[in-house]
Amino acid sequence: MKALLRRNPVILLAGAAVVLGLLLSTVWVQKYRYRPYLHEKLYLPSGKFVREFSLGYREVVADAVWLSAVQYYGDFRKGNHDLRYFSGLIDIVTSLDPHFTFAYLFGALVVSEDAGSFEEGTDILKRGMSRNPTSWQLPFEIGFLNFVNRRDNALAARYFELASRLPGAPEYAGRFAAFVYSKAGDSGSSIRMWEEYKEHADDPFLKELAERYIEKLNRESAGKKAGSDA
Amino acid sequence: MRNPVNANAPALTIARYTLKGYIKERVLLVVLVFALLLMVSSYVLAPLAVGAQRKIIVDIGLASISVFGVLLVVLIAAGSYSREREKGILPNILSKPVSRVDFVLGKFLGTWVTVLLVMGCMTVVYFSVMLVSRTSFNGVIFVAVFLSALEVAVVTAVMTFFSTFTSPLLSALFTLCAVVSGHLSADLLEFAARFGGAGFHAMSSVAYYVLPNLALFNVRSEAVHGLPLMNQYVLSVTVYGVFYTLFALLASALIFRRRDVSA
Repeated sequence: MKALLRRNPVILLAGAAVVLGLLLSTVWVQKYRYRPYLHEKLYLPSGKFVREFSLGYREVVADAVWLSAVQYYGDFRKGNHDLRYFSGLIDIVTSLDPHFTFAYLFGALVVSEDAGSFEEGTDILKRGMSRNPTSWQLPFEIGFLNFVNRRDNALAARYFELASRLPGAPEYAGRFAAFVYSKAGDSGSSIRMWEEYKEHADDPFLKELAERYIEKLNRESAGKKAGSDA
Repeated sequence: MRNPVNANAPALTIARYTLKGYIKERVLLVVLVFALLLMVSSYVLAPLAVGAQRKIIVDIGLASISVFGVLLVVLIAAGSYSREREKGILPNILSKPVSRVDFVLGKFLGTWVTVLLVMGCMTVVYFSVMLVSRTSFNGVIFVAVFLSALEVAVVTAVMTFFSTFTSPLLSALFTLCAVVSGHLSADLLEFAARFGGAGFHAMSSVAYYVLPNLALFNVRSEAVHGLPLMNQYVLSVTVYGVFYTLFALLASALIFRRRDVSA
């Protein structure tokens, strides 16, 4: 090999040029890696279709789509795009793995609070309830969203009460029901509810989301106060 | 000279030789390494899956054991009959006191045990990954691994059936088709009952009852979410798996008895 290179310096030079070219082009192409006009999620088929085509490995395909949904939400948080395909991703994940409760909880929170589609968010949770009738977390979150988003105390209390009767429900589910029955809906009590939610959430990511919504409500109420003072 | 074939249990002797032959094959090692890497990768992927860390580890491990088990059957067993016929080994073996039924049974056992050994290695690594990542176990995970091993027995028997009368490529293709259809047959039957005409419904019913219903062996969802699984279900699926395997082996033996095995 060495002898070959000694005899043919052109090969050596050409090789070096190729390596250099590859390095430079790799660095250059990084600038154009993200193409905002490309909506790859647009081509995601429906949950039922993916369910049939994943054969017996639905849970693993659900994991892959879940990772994609989390990444998609992360990109939204960075300001790269809106959330128009998020509920589609959640639909695929939950069609593939109907017992993946966390996907309903997370999906409904994001769709309701970040995308501003309360009805769609609670629909996700109701779908989850029909597939997982013994899960207390799902009715609990419907009650929670009804209280903090719609200020519909009566409906929220009914869902909290339902959640408190299901197996494994914590003591605070019943406490939430009593609290909601006694309180008129205002942003102050919403913030307190979010703080309770944050305190009791098992998952650090849900805690982080609750923190984000508390900040949002605080900003809104500060804005309203400044407006009324002026 | 000592006769290498055990006169009392010739099928076991064939199985032992088949196992020894497969263990030397490089593809076995490649599949094993690939499957183990995939399992270990679930440990790396888990932190990225918000709220689904445990689920990802359990899912990927169980799916790897099942999918690589089935894949391995297709990769190693597709050409075994024709290879032995071409090399002249088959007529040589059958000239000894070994019946064709013994040969079919021995080949099946050898292939199945080889794949079980690989699946055993995968299971050990899978449980190690679960222990290291402090993922909680439940009894259904063990049942899921057991049913995957049984699914592989059914697929091996189907592969044996096709190998007795077709080329390696066709037997691999037919087996893969049987695996895909076996996972879809129940859904297809339901679809035909709802939307199809009488002809489509009849065809779907035939496919449903003739093809192995592999969806029955999939209890991975129950294992991942800790859902209850009835003992009667596991028992009935086990009995179904055993009888389907025996049926496919019987059909293989009947066809193989009539085949010309000269090189």
